[in-house]
Amino acid sequence: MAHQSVPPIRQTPRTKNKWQRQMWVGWLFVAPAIGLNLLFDWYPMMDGIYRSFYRWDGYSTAVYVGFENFRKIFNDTIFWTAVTNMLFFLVMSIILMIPTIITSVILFRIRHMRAQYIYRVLFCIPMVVPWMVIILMWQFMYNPQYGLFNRFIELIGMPDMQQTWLGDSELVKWCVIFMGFPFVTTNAALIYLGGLKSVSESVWEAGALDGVGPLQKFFYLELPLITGQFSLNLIGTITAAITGYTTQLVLTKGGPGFASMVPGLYMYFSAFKSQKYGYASALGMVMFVLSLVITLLSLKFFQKEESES
Amino acid sequence: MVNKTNPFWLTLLCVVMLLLAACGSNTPTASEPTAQPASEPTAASEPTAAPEPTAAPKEYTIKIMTWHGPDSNTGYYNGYKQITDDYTAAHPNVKFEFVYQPLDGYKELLDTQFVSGSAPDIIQMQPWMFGEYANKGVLYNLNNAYNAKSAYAEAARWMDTFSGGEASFAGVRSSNKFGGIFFVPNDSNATMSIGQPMFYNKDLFKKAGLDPEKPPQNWEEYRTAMKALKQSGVIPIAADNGRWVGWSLGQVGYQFGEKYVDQFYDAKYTSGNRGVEYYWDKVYVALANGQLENADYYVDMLTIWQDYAQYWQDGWTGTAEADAPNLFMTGQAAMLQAGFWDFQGYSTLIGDKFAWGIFPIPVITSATSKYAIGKYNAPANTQDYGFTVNATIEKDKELEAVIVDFLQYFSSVEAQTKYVNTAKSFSPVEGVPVPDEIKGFVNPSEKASAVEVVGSSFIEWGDGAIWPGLSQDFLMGKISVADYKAKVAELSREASKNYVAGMIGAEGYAPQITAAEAKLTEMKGDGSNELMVKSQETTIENLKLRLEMMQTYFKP
Repeated sequence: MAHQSVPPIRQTPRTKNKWQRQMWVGWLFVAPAIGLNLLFDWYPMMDGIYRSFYRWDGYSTAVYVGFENFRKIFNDTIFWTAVTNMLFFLVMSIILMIPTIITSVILFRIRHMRAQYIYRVLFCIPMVVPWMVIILMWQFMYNPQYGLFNRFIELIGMPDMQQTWLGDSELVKWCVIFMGFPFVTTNAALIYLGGLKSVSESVWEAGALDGVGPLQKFFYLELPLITGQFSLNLIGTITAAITGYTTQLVLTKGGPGFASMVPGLYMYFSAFKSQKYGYASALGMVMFVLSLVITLLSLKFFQKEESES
Repeated sequence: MVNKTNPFWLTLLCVVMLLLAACGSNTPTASEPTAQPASEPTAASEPTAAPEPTAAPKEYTIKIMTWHGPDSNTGYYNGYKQITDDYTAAHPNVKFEFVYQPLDGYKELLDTQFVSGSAPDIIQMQPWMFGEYANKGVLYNLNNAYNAKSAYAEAARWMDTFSGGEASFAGVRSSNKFGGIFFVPNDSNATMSIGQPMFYNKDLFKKAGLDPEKPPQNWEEYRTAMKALKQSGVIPIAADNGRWVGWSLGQVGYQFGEKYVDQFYDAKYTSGNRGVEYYWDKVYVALANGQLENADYYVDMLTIWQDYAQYWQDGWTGTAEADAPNLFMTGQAAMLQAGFWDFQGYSTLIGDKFAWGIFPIPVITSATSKYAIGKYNAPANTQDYGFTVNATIEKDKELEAVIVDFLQYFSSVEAQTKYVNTAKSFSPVEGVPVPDEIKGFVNPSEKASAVEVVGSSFIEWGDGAIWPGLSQDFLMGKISVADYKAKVAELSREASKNYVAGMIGAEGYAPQITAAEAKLTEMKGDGSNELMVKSQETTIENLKLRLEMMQTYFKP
């Protein structure tokens, strides 16, 4: 059968003008978003790329140095120490995504809607406490002399077990990780919950009819059905672990020595403590590439897993 | 009939309104004075003698940035507020707004503000910041104002009203490529050796078997006291992972290397005032050339510093700056280093919880190291702490006059006398008495005579992102003295090379000399007074000599 073509809509000058006007209105609506996006996202990023090829103190004329900043980065032992620390935080952050998934599933399984609502609210309340306050509270708890942990250890009669916590090069990274206890991220949990709620009820009913137990339900139904949400949260976790540094800045300043230094903090120090803005921009570029590569590899892995299953 | 609104125009209107709302501001600032007629600043010697305005005066809101906030338990903020309130009472068209940022993050905020063009008009700075920001061209050069008469003093020049007079600004001029003066001193005195002593808990000293009324005088006695305190189960020193690293280094480091740098230069650059005036340039060039890396005193200095760390609390590398004073206040640590600026706050916090006192940092004598100077730094006769002015005020001559007038009032004997008693601080102005409470912070004059001390500058002049962390590793014994020395020397060599290359380069001294010569020609043409012309000639001569010295000695 011959291809049946749809007759084109005849555009009179009048409809064309109307269409053009509507297009302009559309552009006007998105113009602020595009403008602000270009100004606050793309311009700084492009400027960062440009600056990374210069030696610049933030004030005087920048001097073009080609790839010198990148060459220095690859020979900078502190940067590689920071990358090693970052990889530790990254792996731990990924592992510690598990409690959030389990909690979301448990929350989802609560059939009593009112109870589920109450738990969800209780879940969200910590979101309103600024992260800075949480960091300072943990800093206080880790204090070797009057902090909660050493006081508690003393109270239970084991003073020999007291630690210097943030002052111990071996312990400091674990202390930073432990700060997330009980490792349930509200935003991520809400995303998982949304994912689970969007699954058709018939899937759960079919599972129930087949006699699927709670563990089987978790591994063969719930977990596979939130892979998309997991990928989304994973990207966030990877990006935060690679580029984040607020916790280290406030809690440890990257110390003792460089034991908790991460690339983001090193970039911040290079810019604001050493006035090496060009070098800091180059560090930012390297972090961007690292983040991109690791995220793409992770997504590739998940896509492969999905297609195989 | 239905009145149809065209969606295009409606949307356009909304966008325009949003943009206008976002860009609008109803607060006039100093940089954007209100459109009212201007009034010239008063030339009266009393701030209360406001001029009779003939028209509604132009209004100004001057922003002052400081790290002393209204919630601080010190009296500094109240002191500054008192001065600005008095000035506003006499000049109702000039108002002040304080921008407060704690020292932690102060420089970061300031950098951001300068880069974005939103820096305040008057900015409090620490000594090491003046040269850095002046060289970046973001500060206002007060040179001419200093050479003119202050409206609030009898002296011929504003400069002469400060203790130490013109000579006390020599070091200030040497710290920037313009040879200029970029700040108005405050909270210091160039002719006194003001120390940053140890606050100590007399009760804990007694508990450790030490005489609380006889605190240690030299480093050996200091070590003995720290040992005794540690044995008694008390933390000898409250340390932190921030400023303490630099402070403790300063305690030890600046007891070594008096006049050490002069040996590398011709007498032309070291004699007379030039010893002090060219001091920073000489140190930079020597660091860049690697000439200070093997100073004979380094091993002793670093060993003493590393040994010192064993008397700081366990886990000090994880203790934040704000937590170290807590250890002292709660009676867990016996000693804490602090400045006179902390005196008022600590007095209130300690109350009658325990008996306490202060003693100067013990002198390192030959009994500890044969290289030690064995005395305190002499009064530097150099102005240090103070307030700088944003260079952008030059764009508005009336604002410039208002700010200079305010700063002259700020440093008048009358305002300063009130200020030091409120803030419990020192004044740089001649004739202002030191409050009794802080007299103990002045080092005894018979022990304070060391000059041009190179000390540990090869460490702190290195990369600020790295040396503090490296120092923590060194103090914890993870790096040997030799390795640490090699690493910090490399950092300071690189930083100094960049600095000296910049000074010799196209944006360094050369354009400043040209600009200063043009200014001199202008001054001669304008018939400026002889003192100002002479001062400008001296500035040019010094700039030329400093450039010549760098070009002669710097080995890229």
